[in-house]
Amino acid sequence: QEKTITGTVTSAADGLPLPGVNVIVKGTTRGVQTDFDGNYSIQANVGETLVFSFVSMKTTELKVGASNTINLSMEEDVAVLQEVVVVGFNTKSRDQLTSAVSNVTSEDLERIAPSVSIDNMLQGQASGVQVTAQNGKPGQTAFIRVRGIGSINAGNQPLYIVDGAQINEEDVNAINPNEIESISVLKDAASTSIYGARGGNGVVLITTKRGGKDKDAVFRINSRIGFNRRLKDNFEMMNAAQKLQYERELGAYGLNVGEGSSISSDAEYNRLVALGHNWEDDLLQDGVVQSISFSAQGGEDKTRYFFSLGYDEDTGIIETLDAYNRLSGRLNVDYDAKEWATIGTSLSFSSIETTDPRDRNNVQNPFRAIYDYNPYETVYVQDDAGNLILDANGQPQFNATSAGYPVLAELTQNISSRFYNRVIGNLFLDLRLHDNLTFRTQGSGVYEQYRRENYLQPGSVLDLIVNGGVPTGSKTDNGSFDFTYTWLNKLTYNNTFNEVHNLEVTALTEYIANNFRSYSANGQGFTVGGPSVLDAAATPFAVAGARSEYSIFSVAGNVDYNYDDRYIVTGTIRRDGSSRFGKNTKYGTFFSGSVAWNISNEEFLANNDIISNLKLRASAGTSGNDQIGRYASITTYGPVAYNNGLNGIVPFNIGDPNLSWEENFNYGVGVEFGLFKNRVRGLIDYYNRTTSELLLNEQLPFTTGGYAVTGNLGEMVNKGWEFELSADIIRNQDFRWTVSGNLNLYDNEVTKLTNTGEDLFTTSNYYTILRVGEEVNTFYIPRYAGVNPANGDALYYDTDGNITNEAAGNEVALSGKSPFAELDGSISTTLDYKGWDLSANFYFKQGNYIYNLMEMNMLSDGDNANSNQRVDAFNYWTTPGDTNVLPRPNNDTNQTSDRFLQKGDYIRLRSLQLGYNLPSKFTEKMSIDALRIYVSGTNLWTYAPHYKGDPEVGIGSGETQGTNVIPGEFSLYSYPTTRNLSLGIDLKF
Amino acid sequence: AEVALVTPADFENAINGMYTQMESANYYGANFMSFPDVLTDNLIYNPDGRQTQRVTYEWRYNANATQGAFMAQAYRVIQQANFILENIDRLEEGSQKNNIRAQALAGRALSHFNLCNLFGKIPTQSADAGSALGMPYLTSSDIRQTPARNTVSEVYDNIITDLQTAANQISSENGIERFNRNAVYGLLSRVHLYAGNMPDVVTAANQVTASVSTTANFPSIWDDSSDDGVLFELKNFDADTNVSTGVPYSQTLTDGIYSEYVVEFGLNNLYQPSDIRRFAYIDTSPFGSTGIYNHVAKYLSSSVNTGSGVVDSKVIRAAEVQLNKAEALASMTGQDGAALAALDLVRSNRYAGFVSGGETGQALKDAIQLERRLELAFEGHRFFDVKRQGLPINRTNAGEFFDGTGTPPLFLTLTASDHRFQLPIPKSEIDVNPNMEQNPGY
Repeated sequence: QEKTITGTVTSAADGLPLPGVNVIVKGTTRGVQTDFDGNYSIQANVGETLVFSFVSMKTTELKVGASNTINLSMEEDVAVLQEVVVVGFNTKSRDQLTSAVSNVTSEDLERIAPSVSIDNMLQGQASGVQVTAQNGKPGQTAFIRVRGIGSINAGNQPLYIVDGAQINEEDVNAINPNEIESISVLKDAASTSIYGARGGNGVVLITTKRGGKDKDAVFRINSRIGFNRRLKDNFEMMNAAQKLQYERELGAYGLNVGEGSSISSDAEYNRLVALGHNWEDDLLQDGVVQSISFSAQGGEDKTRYFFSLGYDEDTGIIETLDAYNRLSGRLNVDYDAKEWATIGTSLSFSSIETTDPRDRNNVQNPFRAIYDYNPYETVYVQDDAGNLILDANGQPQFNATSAGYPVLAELTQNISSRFYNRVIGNLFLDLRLHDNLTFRTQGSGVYEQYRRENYLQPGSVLDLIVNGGVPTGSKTDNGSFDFTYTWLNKLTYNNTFNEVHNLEVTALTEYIANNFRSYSANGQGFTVGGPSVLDAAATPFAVAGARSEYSIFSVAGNVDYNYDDRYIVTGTIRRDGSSRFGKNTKYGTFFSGSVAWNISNEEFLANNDIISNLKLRASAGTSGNDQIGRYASITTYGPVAYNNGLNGIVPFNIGDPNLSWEENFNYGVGVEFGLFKNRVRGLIDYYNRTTSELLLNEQLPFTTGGYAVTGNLGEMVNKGWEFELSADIIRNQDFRWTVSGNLNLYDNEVTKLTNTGEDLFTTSNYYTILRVGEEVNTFYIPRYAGVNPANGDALYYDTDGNITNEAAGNEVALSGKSPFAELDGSISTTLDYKGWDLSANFYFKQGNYIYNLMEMNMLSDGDNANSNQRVDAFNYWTTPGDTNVLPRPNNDTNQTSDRFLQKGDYIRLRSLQLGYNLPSKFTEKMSIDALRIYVSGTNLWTYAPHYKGDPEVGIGSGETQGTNVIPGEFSLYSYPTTRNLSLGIDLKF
Repeated sequence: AEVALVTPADFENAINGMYTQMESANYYGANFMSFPDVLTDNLIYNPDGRQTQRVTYEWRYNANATQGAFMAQAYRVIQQANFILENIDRLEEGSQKNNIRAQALAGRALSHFNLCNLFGKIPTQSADAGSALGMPYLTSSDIRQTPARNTVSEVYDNIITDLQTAANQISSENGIERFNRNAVYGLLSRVHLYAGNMPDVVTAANQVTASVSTTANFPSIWDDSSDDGVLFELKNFDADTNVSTGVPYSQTLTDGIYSEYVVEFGLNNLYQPSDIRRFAYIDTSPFGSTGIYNHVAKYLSSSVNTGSGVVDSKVIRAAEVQLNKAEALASMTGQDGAALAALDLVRSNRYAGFVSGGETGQALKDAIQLERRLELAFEGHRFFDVKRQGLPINRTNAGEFFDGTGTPPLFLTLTASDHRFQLPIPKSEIDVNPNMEQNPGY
C-alpha cells in the first residue's frame, strides 16, 4: 500500500547532506528533490523501487520495504568524477588517457606540508618521478628526474611548462604553490613526443588556477609561520675535553695538532676545557619561515578570474643572513568576447631576493666551520686570562681558529645577494569556428631579470687577505636579462560519429625564441664604512658581458580516436627545426603511437562486484633532449686579454657540425585497476627508455691540447617498474582512512660510449666513471682493505686484488655502486574524521651510494686533526693484534677509498600534517565559508642505517660542481637539510 | 667573422692569445713556476699547509695523478702556434708576417722543450737519452691527430730549428712582454746547454745584448716595479690574465704568510748574508702561533696589481744566459777565464762587496752550479738542472721551520737513475691516443 517514505540523503565522502538529489519511483513519473538539508518525502508502495540520482554520484536503487524511513549515503561515481588531466596541448579525463601521466592536484598539495618551492612538495607524490632536494637552502629547487637518468652531459631536467611558457628548473621557485591548480608529469613517449626535441626527459606541466563560470567569488587567505632547524646528525663530534684528549694522544705519534698535543699543565688543560662550546650555536640559528597569500577566484556569465598575491620569507639557518624573500602576484582572466570567441590571459610576477653563503669546501663555508672548529676555540680572540683582545678600533676580533679564517667575518662582512624579477604569463584567443572546430592562438613568455651584488668590505678579513693586507674593498654587480617567448597556433577538430566513434584531431605550429644578455662590472677601492655602490669605487676594475640566442620552429599533429570509450588509439608527430643543432642536422621528426583498452567499460564487466575499473595501455615513440648548449656545434674563437687589455683570441669551443639532439626511444605498458567500488586503486607500469645519440664530450689527446668535443656518441638504457596502490580502509560518513603507496624500480645501463677507450670521465665525474655495461656514473675509487693488525697501517687493494699501502692509482669501477637509487617510493596515509584531517607521507630510497667526504675529514686518522673530529675517531689502532679499528694516526695523506663510500638508503617522514576544519555552525556564524587550522612538519624523522650524515644529498658542493651536478655523488658541506615545523590557517569567505 | 684569422689584426690577436695560454695557471702562470722546484731539494713541504702538490713533492705520482693539466696547456700553446703558422700565408710578405711567424715558432719550440724535459729525458742526462722517448713534436693544429712520441734527439733538433728560424725573423722592436730577439737567443742558449752543444751555447748567449740586473734593481724585479735583466716575461694583470702565480707557494693571511712550501733548510743556508737574494727571495716570518718559516718571497705581491701573488712570470732573464754561457765555457778546454767572467757578471750584481773567487776547474764548475741554483730558485729550473746532469735529488733531513726544526720530509732521495725523473704520461692520454707510449716504470 502507498505510504509516505521520508529520509535523508548524505554524501558518503564527507557525510554532509546532499540537496537537490532526484528521488523517483522507478517506472513512474512521481519524483521529488531533496531539500537544503538533504531531506525528502515521497509517496510509494511497498515493493516499488526508489531511484536516487545526482550529478557526479552513483545512481542508487532501493526497494521500499516495511520501514517508512529510507536514508541513503550516496557514493561518488568515480568514473564521472575522474580528474581532468592536462596532457600536452589538450586535457583529457583519466579514462581517455593512453599514456603514463602522473597528476598532482591542488587538493593533493594541500595535504602536504608546504614548501616555498613546489617541486620539493612533489617528492613521493608521483610514481616514476624522483625528486631530490638540491640542498636545504631556502627557496632551493629540487632535482626532478623522470624515469631514470636519460643523459650524461646534456642535462637531466625535464621540460617545465607553466601555462604554455617554458621555464627552467631554477625558475620553479618563482611560482607561489598556492596558485597552482595541477601539475602533470608526462612520463612516456606517447605523451612527450608532442614536445619533440625537448620532451626526452619528461615534461612537467604546471597549470595555474582559473575562475569558474557563474561562481561567486571565493576569497581565500592562507598564512603560516614556521621554524627551521638543521637535522641532527646521526653521529657525535668531540667536545672540548675529548678533542684535547685526542690531540694529546696524537702527540704521542709525533703529530703536533691543535692545542692538546702541547699542553704542559693541568691548569692549561682545565682552562681549555672550560672554553668548550658548540660552534653550531654560534654560527647557526633557528630559521623562521613566514608565508601569507591572498586569492580571489570566481566568475560570472562572461568573465572568469583568479587573482592572487603572496609573500614568503625564509631566513634560513645561518646566523645573520636573511636567506630568501619572495613577493608574487597573479591575475588569470577569461572573457567571452563573443559567443564564439574567448580571450584570456595568465599573468604572474614574482620578485625574489636571496642572500647566499659560500657553498664551497673552504674556510668561508659555515657548514664546514661547525664541524671543523675545535670546541675549545673561542669566537673572539682572547688572552689566556679570558679577556678579549681588542683591535685598533677597540672592537673584538673574530678568532681565525685552527682553520685559519673566521667564518663569522665572512657572514657579517662580505654580503652576496641575488635578485630575480620574473614575469611569466600568456595571452590567448580561442575561436569556436564551428561546433567541431576550435582555434587557439597563444603567446606565452618568461622574462627574467637577474641581478647579483657581491660586496667585499674594505678592511674585512677576506679583503685584507686578497689584497695583501691593504684595505681595498671590491664590488661586483652582475646580472642578466633572459626572455623566452612561445607563439602557439592550434587547430582542433572534435566530433563523435554514430555515438561511438570519438575523434579528435589537433594540428599546431609553435615558434620559440630566446634572447639572453648578461653583464658584469667590478670596481675596487672603497672607503671603509662608505657606500658600496659601484660609483664609489676608486678604480673601475673589470667589465664583462655576453649575449646568446636560440630559436625553434615546429609543426605537430595529434590524432585521438576512441571507440565507445573502450578502445583508444592515439598518434602524434612533431617536426622541429632548432638553431641549437649542427648545420647538417637542423631538423628532426618525432612520433609516437599508443593504445588503450578500458576493459571495465565492456559489457562483461558492467556490473562486476569486484572489478570496478580496469584498463590496459601500451605506447611507444620517440622524443629528444635539446639541452646541448646554444652554439656547441660551431667551432668558435673567443676573446681574452693580454698585457693590460690587449685583445687576444683563443679557441672557445671545438664544434661538430653533425651535433644534434639526444634521442629517446620509449616503450611501455601499463595496467590500471580499481576494485570493490574503487576502494582499492592501483596501477602497474613497465617502461624501457633507450637514449641514443647521447651527447658526450669526447676527450681528445692532451697532445693536441686536451680539448673536448661534444658529439652524439653514447647510448644508455633505463628500464623500470612503477607500482601504485591506494586503499580506502575505512570509508564512511564520519571517518575516512586511506593508505597509499608507490614503489619505483630503476635499472640503468650504459650501452655505448665514445669510440676511444672503454671508460669515460666527464668534468662532472669526481669519484665516478662511465663504463659500458655498468650503471651510469659508477663509483671509481680504490678499495679499502682495512687496517693491518700488525702495525696499524691503512691497507688497500691494488687493481689486481693484492694488498698494498697505496690507494692512489688503484681505482677500480665498483660495479653496481652508483649515486642512483635502485628503488624509491613513498607510503602515505590520510585520515579524515569529522572536521579533523591527518596526512603523513614517508619517502624512502634504497640502493644508492654516496661518497662521504665529510666523514673523510672527521675521521681523518690525524691528517685533518687540527680540525674537530668525530668521537669514534678514538677507536684507532694502538697495539698489534687490534682489529675493527681505524688506522694508526699518522700524517700521511688520508687517501680516497671506498672506506668512505656509504649506502644512502633511508626512509624519512617527509611530511606530516594535522588539520582541523571549524564546523559549519561556527563558520556560518562568522559569515565565512571555511576555516582550517593546521600544523605541519617536514623531515621529522629519518632512518638511515648506513650513511653518517644526512642521506638526502643533491648538490655536494655548489661552487665546486657548478651546473653539472651528479645528484648525490658526494657530500661536502652544502646547505644541510632542515626540519620544519609550521602552524597555518586557511580561511575562505 | 666566420673565419678566425684573416687580417693582420687577427694574427696579432692570435699571438696575444698564445701568450695568455702560456700565462695560464696550468703553465707559466703558476704550475710551471712551482712544480719543478717542488720536485727537488729547493723546497720543503709544510705539513700545516693545504697539502697541495703533495703527490709531486713525495714523488708518488702515477698515470692518474701527474702533470696532465700542464701537458694539455703546453700543447694548447703549440696548437695555437700551429694554427697561426698554417694560416700565415694570408698575410703579405714582410716584417710583420715574419715577426708573427717567429713568435709562433718560438712559442711552439719552448713548449715542446718544456714538455720533453718533463716527460722525456734530457739529452745530457744519460748516454741513452737521445734515442729515448721524447714527446710528439707537432707541426699541425689538427686536434684529432693521435701523435706518437719522437725521440729526444728529434725533438731537440726541431726545437733548435724553430728557435733558429725565429731568431732570424723576429723583430728587435718587440718588448719583453713578447718573444723578442734577446729572449729567443737566450732560450737557444738554454736549449743548447740542455743538448750539450757547448760552443752553440756561447754563440747564442753572445747574441743577447741585455745585461744582468743590478743589485739595486734586483729586489724590484719581484714586485714588477723593475724589469732590469728580464729578457721575456708573461705579463699578468689583475684585469686580464689575473693568475695568482704565488698561490702554489703561499697565501698572505691576517696571521702572516701561509705557506704550502717553504725554502728548504739546506738551500736557505747557502744564501749568504751579503747575498741580495737572501732578502729578495726569502721572507723569514711567523705564521700565527704555528711557527716561524722561511717563506718564498718571490711571488708575494706586485706593485702593479692588487691581487695577492698576481705577478709577471719571468720566462728568461739575462743572469741565466750568463750562467748558461759560464757553464758551457767551463766545460770547454781553456775557457775557464771566460767562464769566470760570465759567472762574475752575475755574482758581482748579487753580493755586497763582491770579490771574485777566481775559481778554476772543478771549483769553477761547482761555483757555477751553486750560483745557478741560488739565482734561479723557485722559477721552475731546479728539477731540470739536476736531471740534465744525471744527478740525484738529495733533500736535507730538516723540518719546515726556519731553523730546520719541524717534520723532515718523508722522502729524502731520488736516485739519478730513478724512472720517476721522467713523469708518467696521463692515463687519459694513453686511453684516447693509441699511438702514445707510457714511460718505463709506470
